[in-house]
Amino acid sequence: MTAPAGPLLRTLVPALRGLERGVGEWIASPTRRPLAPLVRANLEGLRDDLRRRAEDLDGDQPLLVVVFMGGTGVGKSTLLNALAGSAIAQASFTRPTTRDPVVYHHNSIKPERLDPALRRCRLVAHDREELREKVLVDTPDLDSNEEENRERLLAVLPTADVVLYVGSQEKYHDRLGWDLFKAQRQRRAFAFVLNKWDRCSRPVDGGLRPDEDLRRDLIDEGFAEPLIFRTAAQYWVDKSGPPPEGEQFPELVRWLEEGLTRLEIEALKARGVEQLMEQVIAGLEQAKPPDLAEPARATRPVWEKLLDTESEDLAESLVNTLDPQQREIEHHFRVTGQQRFQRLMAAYLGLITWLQFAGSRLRNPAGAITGSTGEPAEREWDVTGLTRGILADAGRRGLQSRLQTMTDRMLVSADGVGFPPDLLKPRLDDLAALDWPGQLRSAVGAALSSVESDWTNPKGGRKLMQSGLVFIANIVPEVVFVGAVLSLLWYWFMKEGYALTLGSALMPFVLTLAVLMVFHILIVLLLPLRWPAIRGQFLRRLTAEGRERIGAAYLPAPEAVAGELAAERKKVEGLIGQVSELMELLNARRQAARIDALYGR
Amino acid sequence: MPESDRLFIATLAEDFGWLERHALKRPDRAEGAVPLRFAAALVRNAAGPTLAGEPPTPLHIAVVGGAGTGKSTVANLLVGSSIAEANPQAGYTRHPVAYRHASTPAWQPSDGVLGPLTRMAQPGPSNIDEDVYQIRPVPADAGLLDRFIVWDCPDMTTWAAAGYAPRLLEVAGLADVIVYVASDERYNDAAPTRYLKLFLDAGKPIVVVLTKMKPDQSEPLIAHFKKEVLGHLPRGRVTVLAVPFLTAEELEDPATRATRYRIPLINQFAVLGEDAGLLRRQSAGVAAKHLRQHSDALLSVARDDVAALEDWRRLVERGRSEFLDRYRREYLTGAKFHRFDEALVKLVEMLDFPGVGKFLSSALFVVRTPYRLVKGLLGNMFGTPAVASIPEQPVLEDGFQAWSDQIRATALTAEKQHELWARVAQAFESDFGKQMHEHFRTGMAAFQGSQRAEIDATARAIYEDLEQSPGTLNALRGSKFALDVAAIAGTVAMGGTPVQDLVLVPLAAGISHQLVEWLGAGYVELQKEKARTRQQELIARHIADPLASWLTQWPATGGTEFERLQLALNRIPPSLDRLVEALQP
Repeated sequence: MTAPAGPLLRTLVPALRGLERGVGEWIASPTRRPLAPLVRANLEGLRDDLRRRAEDLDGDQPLLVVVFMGGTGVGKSTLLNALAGSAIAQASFTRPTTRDPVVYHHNSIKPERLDPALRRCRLVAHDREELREKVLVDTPDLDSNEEENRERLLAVLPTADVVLYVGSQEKYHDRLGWDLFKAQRQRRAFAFVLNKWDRCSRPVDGGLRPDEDLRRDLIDEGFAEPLIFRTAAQYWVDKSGPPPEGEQFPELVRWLEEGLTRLEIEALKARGVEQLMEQVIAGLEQAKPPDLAEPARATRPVWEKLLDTESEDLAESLVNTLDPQQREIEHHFRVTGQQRFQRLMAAYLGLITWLQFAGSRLRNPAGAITGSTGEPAEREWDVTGLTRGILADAGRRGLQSRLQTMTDRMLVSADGVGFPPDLLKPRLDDLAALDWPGQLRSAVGAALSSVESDWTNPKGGRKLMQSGLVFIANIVPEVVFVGAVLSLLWYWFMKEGYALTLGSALMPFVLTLAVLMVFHILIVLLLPLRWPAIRGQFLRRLTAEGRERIGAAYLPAPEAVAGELAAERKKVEGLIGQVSELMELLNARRQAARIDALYGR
Repeated sequence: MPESDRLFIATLAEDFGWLERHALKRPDRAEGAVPLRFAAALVRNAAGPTLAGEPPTPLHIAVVGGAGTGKSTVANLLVGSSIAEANPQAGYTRHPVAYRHASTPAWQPSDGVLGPLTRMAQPGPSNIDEDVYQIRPVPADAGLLDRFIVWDCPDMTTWAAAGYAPRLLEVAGLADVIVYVASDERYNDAAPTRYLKLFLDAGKPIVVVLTKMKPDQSEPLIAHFKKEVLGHLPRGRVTVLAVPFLTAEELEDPATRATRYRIPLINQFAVLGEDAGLLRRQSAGVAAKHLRQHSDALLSVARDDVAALEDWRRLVERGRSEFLDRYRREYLTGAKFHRFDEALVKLVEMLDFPGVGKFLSSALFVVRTPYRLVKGLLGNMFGTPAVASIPEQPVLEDGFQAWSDQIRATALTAEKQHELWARVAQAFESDFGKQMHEHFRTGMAAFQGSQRAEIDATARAIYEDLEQSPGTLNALRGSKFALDVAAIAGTVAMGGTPVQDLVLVPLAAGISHQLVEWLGAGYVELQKEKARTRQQELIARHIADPLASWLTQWPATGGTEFERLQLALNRIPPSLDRLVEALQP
């Protein structure tokens, strides 16, 4: 034992304040997982306690607050009056008597030194040196019909270092007081008074003497040597006649005045801080989000498999809605495919297409279907017409319900690998609210573009065949036409007596038309462009596109949630680390004193 | 009492008893258990015997109060002997102890009265903590209270009382008069006051005995009690007396030394006991009315169970309607019902004459050749291609899977909110999904059976109607034929018979045929729409509805808590109505 303990405890103050701030900031931070109301209330209470404790220790002279707690009529006020030697607290036969707590303190202690909750009470100063560092508080009852009294008591109780649990013969066993004691016993020191001892001392047959009964219960609660004082406070107020046998009021006075030395007060304070730290750790542990890194990793492969089938189904249903529009799609492919033909061939094919797809053209006026031009990479399908079906009301609803179904399935499978679905649900709901019709529209566009570029820019043998065909088809009809005209001219000029008939005049046109038709047949045969052939390829592409878009949004969700929780976990662990440091600090300065009897296990 | 009444009383009491045990399972609802136990006690101990017309004597006095208030002392004053052990250990008495004078009529409780409490075979100490009661004999007492049995009850304030206060409630239900003992320390305590309110609500006559004050404080204390405590409670039949702190001598021999407190106390019962039968009938009637009036509050312990069941019902209903929506959207709107198109062909065929008429029809058929070619060409140019129907089975299977997933996902995310959801989630771990699928499959089979028949019948009906009424058929045939002939004849008549004008004949024949086809197609389309609606009804009837009702019932089947709960909640209100009715004077 070297330096006085007060300043040492005082060195804990900054750490306590830091911890209080940390807990407060964490509770107030918006990103955290919503805490259960009870857990949150507990943490807020602990934060108040931390603040209170820091203020309490931040002084030269530690004050020991002893709060009297008990039912109405057990004699708390009488006890305080007996201790004070005068009627400082109102005591009467009507119940409940005390409505405002009375704080009995030494006149050297300025009210500002007291906890704010105590400052609001009725303050009575004294000049008894033996009680200089002790503040005695009389409280309202905890069990009467006046519920406000209970609230007043609960407002004062957190200031207590020691609770003096006052019971009478009638009430020492009451449930309300006992429940409050059990709720508080891990947080403060407890001593017990069995008042109205005169009513207990009648001979007993069969039952236990109340003080024995109380001792037994406290031992069951884990108090190895509970401090119980049997008192008859009324005798000491009235000073009439000798006190009943076995009465211990003088012992109580002695304990308060001399037993609680400065050293013991220090130790009590230290133990109080320690209890608070234990509570804070328990509260934080309770609030700490779970570690989901492993389940999040396990979720990914399961979801990937699920997305495979899901995107297949989705693509299938989308392609089904496209089925009625196959003429438009063929039309578009045809127009695009014909852009590499030139002159006569192009004109001929254009005319044929114009006729063949008259219906498609009429349904999509204003040149909606124009074919694509330029480099494949830049091609953007105008799919407004095509996706009308997908984006119509019913289709949108269908998509919504499909996404909902997928979300449900994902939640179920996440649960299967140990990821709590309730943590995942809000995020998945947010994802389902994204612009999925737009995403799908672009997926359909992308899939069509890529199928189209496969068809119009084939690879290998098809490429050779296609470019050969295009090359020949672009030249041959003109050559045939020019050749036929030339040979006609040759006959006309060179052959004597050649009569030009209508038939021979039409010959070049008929021949050219025949050649064009032959090429048309070749094109149709060698470069077939029918929906059933496109459909399968389109389905595969759309599946892949959809898979990619949905996967990009959904697959990272579990890890994102786990990441957020891990960040919070880290924060909480940081706070727990602070608490542990504080505990070590405290243990290093622990004072030896005999206060263990005031605490249960 | 008729057997049916006996059963009815026992059932009602047991329903309340079950709810009491249900409430005790969760600490946050444990408060609600007290009035439920009292309700059960009122039903079986007061209403039951009254209904059975049991003799009103002996009357029962229940002495109740907080620990250490002097219940035993008051019981001793009542019986006029220091027989009840007054013990300073708070909460010493753990079961009701009755005191009966030798001259008081014997009391034999009928079946069910006092519920689970059984009479101890031999007198024993009153701290035996079991569901028992004992009746101790008292020497005859000069006829003062010879029609009464006095019950000394356990307290309701100590922390162990949660276990034995139900025994006090049992006796309070039985009691014709309640003596509420409150000491100078306890008279304004919240816990006993709650019981006092319970007894007042039920219409029990109450004698309040304030104890332990100094003699000169009696009057002010009575006034204070009336103002502070009774002033905030419902009005009832209450009288308030005071018994100050008694000396050891007075306690020792209450009959002779404490007469000045004893006589006023006993006088209260003399008045009450004058017409015992009336007193009992009135009490039972008031109690029954009170229970009926407050049944909502009594049953509120099951409020969140009821809310969870309601949520469950809503979830099932949502699943059902989404299942049907999905079926309509993904299958029905795209369904082509090709059977109907076949029916159309058949219908149009039928409109051609059989027999000799066949030659005419064939001739017309040949004439219509150009029409058919042109129609095919135009159809290719302008029409949209026919799309194959999506298969029905996978749509239904997927819809079912989505329904089941929805229930499971909801249960998993709500697991912590109510035990119902935890139970659903747990059931999925075992075989709930399988059972659900089993129900779906059964429905599916029933649906497929009736669907085939239904579609066939509807499609066939398109032409069968005509087949069965040859008159109409022939009329139609005749009109069609007349139309064709008129069209051709008209063309010929207008243009004479030059060869080039004969080209118009096939055109006219084609137009008239097209007209008939349009009419037929319109009719078939109408039938298809009807078939869609009927199809959805079939799905609802065979698959969705049975599955939904099985799901809705599921929590309340298999002997579960929810089944019992529903039973109690459904049974109690009408039973209380019946009870009030039966106890009408």
